[in-house]
Amino acid sequence: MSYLTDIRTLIYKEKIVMSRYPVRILANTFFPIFFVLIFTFTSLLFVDPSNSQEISQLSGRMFAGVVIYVFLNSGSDLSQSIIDEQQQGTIESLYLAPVSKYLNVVAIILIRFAFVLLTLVPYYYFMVNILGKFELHNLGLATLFLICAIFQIAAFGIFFAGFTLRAKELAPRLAFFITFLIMIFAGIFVPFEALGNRMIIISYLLPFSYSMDGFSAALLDTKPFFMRLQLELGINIILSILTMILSTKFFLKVEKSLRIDGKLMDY
Amino acid sequence: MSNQVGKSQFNMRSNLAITWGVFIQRVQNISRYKAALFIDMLNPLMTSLFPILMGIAIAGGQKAAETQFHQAVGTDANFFLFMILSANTFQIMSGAIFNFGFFLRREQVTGTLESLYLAPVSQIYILIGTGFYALLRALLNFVFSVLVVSIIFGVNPLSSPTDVLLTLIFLIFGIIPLFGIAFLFGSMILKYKDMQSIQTILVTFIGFLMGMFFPITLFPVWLQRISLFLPPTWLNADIRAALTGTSWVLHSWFSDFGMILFLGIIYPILGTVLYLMTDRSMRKTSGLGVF
Repeated sequence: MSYLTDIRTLIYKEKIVMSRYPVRILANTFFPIFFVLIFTFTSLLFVDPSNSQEISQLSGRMFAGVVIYVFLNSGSDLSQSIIDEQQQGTIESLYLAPVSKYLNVVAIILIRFAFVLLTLVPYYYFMVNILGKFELHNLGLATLFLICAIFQIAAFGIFFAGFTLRAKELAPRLAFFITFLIMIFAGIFVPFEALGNRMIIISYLLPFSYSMDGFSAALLDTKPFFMRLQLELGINIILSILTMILSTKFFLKVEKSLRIDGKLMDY
Repeated sequence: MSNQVGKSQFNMRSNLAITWGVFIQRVQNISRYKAALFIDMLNPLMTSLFPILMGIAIAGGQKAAETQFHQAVGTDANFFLFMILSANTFQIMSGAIFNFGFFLRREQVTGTLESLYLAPVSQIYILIGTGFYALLRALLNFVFSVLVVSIIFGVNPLSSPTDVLLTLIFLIFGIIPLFGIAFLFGSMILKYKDMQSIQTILVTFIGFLMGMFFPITLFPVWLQRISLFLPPTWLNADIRAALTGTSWVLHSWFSDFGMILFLGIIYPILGTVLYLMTDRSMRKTSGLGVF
């Protein structure tokens, strides 16, 4: 019960911090739109404009990619929040408060993801208007895959929060770089078929690949790349739990060690 | 007679020393973060992988992607080199904006911006020092990433020395107007604080309008006109034209170069004026240290 109260208080705190930066809210809403526009126009270089079926497939694939990407972007942004707290000098005082520090990270993720959820419907209509209509299938199954993806991305965010405490200012750059790698190798905008025999090995090692593959295949009613959907869902549930446990352990370990060394404020 | 040091007592030599000092300070600062430097150099590689792999997947193979690409751009430009150069131009643009913004935001949150501005020094020279630092990083990143990516994809960007020379000229002069955008970005940071968000939205917005991985001829005419107001559009199109043989925006390299020179005068003036105006207004009201 006290956890619930804590998390509510921390979400409230985060909401206040967010409201100080309205530009961030605007940026989070519009940035993926421009991003998608860049890749949409680029992809138009490689399709036959008269083939409406090909355009519709492209539109659906881009939408599925955007959905995962906006969550991924929000999760990887967590390292910047940690650096901000370090630079502003509020991280040490936060750690002096009698509240679970892990819950602070969870609260940041929760409020950001809630905001991202609100943007999904406008994104759908945006893609339909830009590229053309596409059908959405198996919404229930796709939602399950999306939940798995959200858990895995949250785990990535928590892992990176811990890593940021260690890696200091290198972390946001590295987060950006790793996000890019994930976007390529997890099939977010680049289909797995394009990766070739060597690069696909990296995809096999990334948990996000399975959630992206399942989500996209369920939503667009296409053949999954890795395995049949039911099996992929099972694997995704296991991966979501496993990544969450491991990242939480890592975060708590780093946090404890830095507090003992008194290096929480170093950046 | 007052012994207080005033701005008028600074001559050209001391102003240059300030610029040099800021430049060196920034170089020393980033040299602490070697991994960050390395990641910056690798970024264009990662960025160019996107359109390359996406194109191959969508078209259904490398040959089909190249054929489709040649039809779309109207020349037989090298598909890989086109994307590599585009990724580099984007990196230069975002780097110019990021480096200045990062400098400003860092000084702001660490509380040194206010004290920096209390020094009897014209801010222009501090801005120029930061600009030169951004230029150095952009050039290093460009040369490194083009070489690495060219080796990986088996492209020879040095096949024509005159084209390489032309590219370097466009690169150096094309970066100057970007400082104007960076100063404009700086004024936005002073006003709205949130550096990362402003940078993210500005960079992707410009990335789209400059035709990051595609020719702006794919845009409707009204959008092409807006796009041509932006210096990165010219830098991107001209570097691609010099090295891959795609068409110049104004059909000849010297007309495009004239436009880049023109933008190189207009944008820095506009950016500096806006920055100084915001800076003055912020100092009168809430102060520069507020974040």
